[in-house]
Amino acid sequence: MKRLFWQAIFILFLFSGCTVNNKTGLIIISNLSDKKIENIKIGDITISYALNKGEKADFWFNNGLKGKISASGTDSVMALYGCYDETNSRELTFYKDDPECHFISNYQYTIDIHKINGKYSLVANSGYKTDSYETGISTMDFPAR
Amino acid sequence: MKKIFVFVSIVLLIGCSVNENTGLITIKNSSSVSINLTLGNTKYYVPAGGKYDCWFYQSFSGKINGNYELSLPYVASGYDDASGDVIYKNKEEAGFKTGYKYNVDVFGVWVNTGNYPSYETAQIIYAREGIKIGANVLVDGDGIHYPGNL
Repeated sequence: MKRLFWQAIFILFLFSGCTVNNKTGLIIISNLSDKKIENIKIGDITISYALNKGEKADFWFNNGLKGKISASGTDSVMALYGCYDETNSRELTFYKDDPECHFISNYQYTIDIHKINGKYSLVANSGYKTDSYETGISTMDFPAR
Repeated sequence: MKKIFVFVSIVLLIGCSVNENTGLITIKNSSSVSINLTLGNTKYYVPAGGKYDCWFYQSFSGKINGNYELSLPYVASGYDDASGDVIYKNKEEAGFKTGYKYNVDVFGVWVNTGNYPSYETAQIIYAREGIKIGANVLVDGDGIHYPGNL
């Protein structure tokens, strides 16, 4: 009976998952290309050992991650960069090639692997932070530095 | 009993992959309020700051809404060649196809309701474009699917 209880708790844990907060962040890695991609890393940290075509993986992290994104079998890395255009009072975003990236806790990011014009590209997109009751607004972070 | 437990655990841990018979919608809730998101005939509960993977095995179209007074669904419906932007339309219907991976992002924003207090938190629901698994994006004509086109 006791064993059954713990098994039920384990299954519930697998179903319930986690939420991002000020100590944890999430990167959702999706392989949208037509081949297996291995050893996906940020800096020296492996965030996925292998992703077959059509597979996805969730990488939860504490505090933050820094470094360049890399993977075996890909041709390029692009990460979204954001800056504020003071003159025209607007936010500008564009993709940087192979930049240093920072992933911050409290944000949900996506990294997609695409086949674009025959080349395999790792694309890091903006991260979204859950809004606080104080601000009421979800904020964005751009991983490229 | 032990065998069933091991089997269920392995299935849950291994997960699935998108192919011609399956599709995936990843719902991410970045608002401070949980959401009961209606997609077609099914409701999905996602807590604030949480995510949910919605696997489906048949293409479907139907309602998309947050079942909340201030839910604002915006559905990717096309592409503007001039600006390079995806066009989002404020509509409550979307279609999703197997073989594609979609994202639905939920954000919190302040909106002016005209009542006191004037501003309240609303939830914007963005149904993003789907990418066909294995497609050579920008080359294959069917590499991207816009759910607003049903």
